[in-house]
Amino acid sequence: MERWIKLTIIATVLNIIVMPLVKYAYDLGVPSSISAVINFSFTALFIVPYLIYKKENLKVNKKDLSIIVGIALSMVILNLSSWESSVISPNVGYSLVIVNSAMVIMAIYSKVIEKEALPSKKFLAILIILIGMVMVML
Amino acid sequence: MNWISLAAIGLIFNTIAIILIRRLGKRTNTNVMTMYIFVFLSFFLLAINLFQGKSYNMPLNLFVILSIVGLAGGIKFLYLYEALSTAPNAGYPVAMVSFGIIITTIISAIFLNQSLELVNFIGVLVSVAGMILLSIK
Repeated sequence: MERWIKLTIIATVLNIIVMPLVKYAYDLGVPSSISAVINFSFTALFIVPYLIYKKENLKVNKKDLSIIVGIALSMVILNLSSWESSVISPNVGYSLVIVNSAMVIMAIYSKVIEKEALPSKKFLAILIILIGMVMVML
Repeated sequence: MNWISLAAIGLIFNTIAIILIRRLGKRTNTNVMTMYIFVFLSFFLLAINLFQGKSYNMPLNLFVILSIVGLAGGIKFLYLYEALSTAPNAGYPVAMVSFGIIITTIISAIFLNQSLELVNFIGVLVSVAGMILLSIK
């Protein structure tokens, strides 16, 4: 199995463990934005000892730092808009499907703009996952 | 603003974040990049919450649960961002992680007694087929 698949499977499993815990906190009255701050702060805090253990160089140049800020701002807007959308939509799944259809856009973007590989079989697989997701969220 | 517009904004910024992570991850250390992203993300969200006057009061056990979620999130994002930077196409890991929503739906149906109708179940099977197709060479 390719390394990126193994990494993604671990990330997916952790995602599955994390989601019900966040939902549990929300059900007990902790707003998602407060949960997010605590989660993300601890995420950053836990990564630091790992980086020190691995003796990674923490320096980044200004250009990369500005991109990192751009990523963080995009994720803030993503979090706020997708949360608000899921709250006011008739079904939380509808909003989730729209936000997660990024997988199709990313696959096409990577193929067209970045000239990366996208065999028709793999693109079909992404479309099938999205169709399945739409059916699950109906 | 209606929910479709908000979801579309979410979609646009989700895509922008993935593109930037992919581009940056190809030329820098993804672990260091992940740490800085979450430092800034926490700071921005903290500022928004302070501006909105939201309270951080909660029972200690909830705080512990959320910090454990943060630890799991740390491992998750370290792996996910490395996968995003090294996969042959950025769409593959994004599709696989999105599959987590489907598994959560199944778990909710089993353990929380939430409804799972026939069309939903067929959707699960369709997504599993897509995942298998995406994973095999």
